[in-house]
Amino acid sequence: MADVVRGAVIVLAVVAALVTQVTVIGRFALPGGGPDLLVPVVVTLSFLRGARAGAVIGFVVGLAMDVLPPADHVIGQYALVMCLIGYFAGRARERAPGAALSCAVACAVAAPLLSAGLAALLGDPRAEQAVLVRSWIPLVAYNLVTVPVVVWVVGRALGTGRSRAVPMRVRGRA
Amino acid sequence: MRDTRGARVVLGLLLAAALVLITVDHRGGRNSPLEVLHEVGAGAFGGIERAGANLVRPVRDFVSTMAEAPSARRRIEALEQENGRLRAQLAARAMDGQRADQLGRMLGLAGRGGYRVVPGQVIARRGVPGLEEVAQIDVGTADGVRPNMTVLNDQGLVGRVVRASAHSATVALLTDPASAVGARLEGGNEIGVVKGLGNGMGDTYVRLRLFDTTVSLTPGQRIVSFGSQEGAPYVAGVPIGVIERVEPTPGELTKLALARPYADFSTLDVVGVVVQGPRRDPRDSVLPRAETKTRTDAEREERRERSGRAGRGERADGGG
Repeated sequence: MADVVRGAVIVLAVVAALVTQVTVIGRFALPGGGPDLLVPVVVTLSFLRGARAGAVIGFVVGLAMDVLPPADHVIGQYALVMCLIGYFAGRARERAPGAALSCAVACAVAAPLLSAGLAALLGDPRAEQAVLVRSWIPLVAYNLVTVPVVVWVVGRALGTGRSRAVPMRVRGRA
Repeated sequence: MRDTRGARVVLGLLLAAALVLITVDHRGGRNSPLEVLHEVGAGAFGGIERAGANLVRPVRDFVSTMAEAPSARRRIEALEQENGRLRAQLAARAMDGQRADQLGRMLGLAGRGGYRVVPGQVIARRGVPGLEEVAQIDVGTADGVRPNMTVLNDQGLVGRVVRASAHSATVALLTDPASAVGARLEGGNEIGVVKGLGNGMGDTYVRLRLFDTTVSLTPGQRIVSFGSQEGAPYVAGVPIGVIERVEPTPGELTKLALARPYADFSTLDVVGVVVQGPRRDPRDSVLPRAETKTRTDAEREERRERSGRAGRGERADGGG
C-alpha cells in the first residue's frame, strides 16, 4: 500500500515538474533560461532506486521532456541523456551510498554538456559554439543551485518513508 | 505500522505542498507565479498542459480529503480556497485588461501591415532545457493555423509556427538559435539574415548578417523582415529589431551586427499568427514611429507618410 502511494507520488512529482518547467519557469524567461527541474528529480530518484531503475526512470522522464509541448528538437535526445544520468546516479548509489550530493553536482554539470554534445552530433544549429558558451554557464549555475535543494527535498520525502532495512544516507545522517 | 507512517508522510508532504501553493499565491498577489496555473485551469489549453492541469487537480482533492477529519481544518481549508478563488478572480480581471490592450495593439500592427491574423496566447514556454527557444500557443489547425506561418505580437516579429495540432501550436521564437529570418534594413534594399542567439544572461539579442559589405551599418538602424516566397515562413515588413552593436568582421564577405528585437521575449503573452500575408509588401510602414509609445493620430499620420515614401516598393520574393 505504501509502495503504491509512493509510486503515485513519484509519478505526480515528475508530471508536476514537467508541467512546471514549461508553464511556470519557462514563462518567466529568466536570465539564462532558468533552472532545469528534471535533472535533479531524475538524479534523486535514481539515487534512491539504483542503476537499473534509474536508467528506466531517466528514459521515461527524458522521453516525456522530448514530447512535452512546446518542443522543437529530436525526440529521444533527452531520453538518452536522462537515461545515462539516471544510470550513473544509480551506480553511484551502489558504489558510494554517502555521495548523494557530490554525485548530483556531477550530474548537474554533465547533463547540459551531454545534451549539447548530442545536439552537435545531430547537426543541430543550436549546438553552435557561440550559443553554447552563452547558454552552458548559466545552465550549470542554475543546476548547481537547484540540484542540492531538490535532492534534499525529494531524498527526504522518499527516504524517510522507506523501511530501515535499507538505510539511506541521502538525508545527510544515516 | 509502516503503512500508517507512509500514509502520514504522504499526507504531510501533500499538506505542505498545499500550504506552499497558498503562500506563494498569497504573497505573489497580482504577480503571483501561480497565475499561470490558474490560466492552465481556466483557459482553453492544449495537449499535455491541459492534461497536466487535470493531473494536478487530484492532488488537491487528495489533500482536502485527507484533511477532512478535524472539522476545524476543513473549515480553514474551505475559507482558504475561497480566499484564493476570489484573489484569482481579482487578478484575472486585471490581467484581462492588460491582455485586451496588448491584443488591441497587436491588431493595430497587423492592420498597418495588411496581415490577416489569428490572435492567440502563449500557454507554455521552453527555455534552455533542450537549448531551444519555443513557445506553445492556444490556437491550432482548427483556427486556421498551419506550420510555417509568421507569428507576431504588438511589438514585432515573434517567430514562426513549426508544428500545429488541432487546438495548439508550437512556435519557434526569433531568438531560437535554429531560426533564420530574411531581413532588410529600413529605407533600403540591403538584405541579410537574422539568427537567434538563444537565451544568454538575460540579454536577448539576435545577430544580423548582411550580405553587402559596402553598406555601412550603424547602431540605431532598424530591421524589418524581408519576406519569404509565398510569405512562408515569414511575411514581409514585420519589424524585427534595432541594431545595437556592429561587430567587426575584417576580411569577411558579410557584415555582422547585434540587434535588439522589438518583441519583448521575457513577457510574451498575446501573439498573432499571420494566416494571410499582405498583397503588397508593406515595406517600412509597420515600423513604430521612432521612440514613440503613444499610438494615436501620430501613428496614422506616420503610416500615411511612410507608405507614401515606400510606395514604389513591390512585393519582394525569395530569401527566407
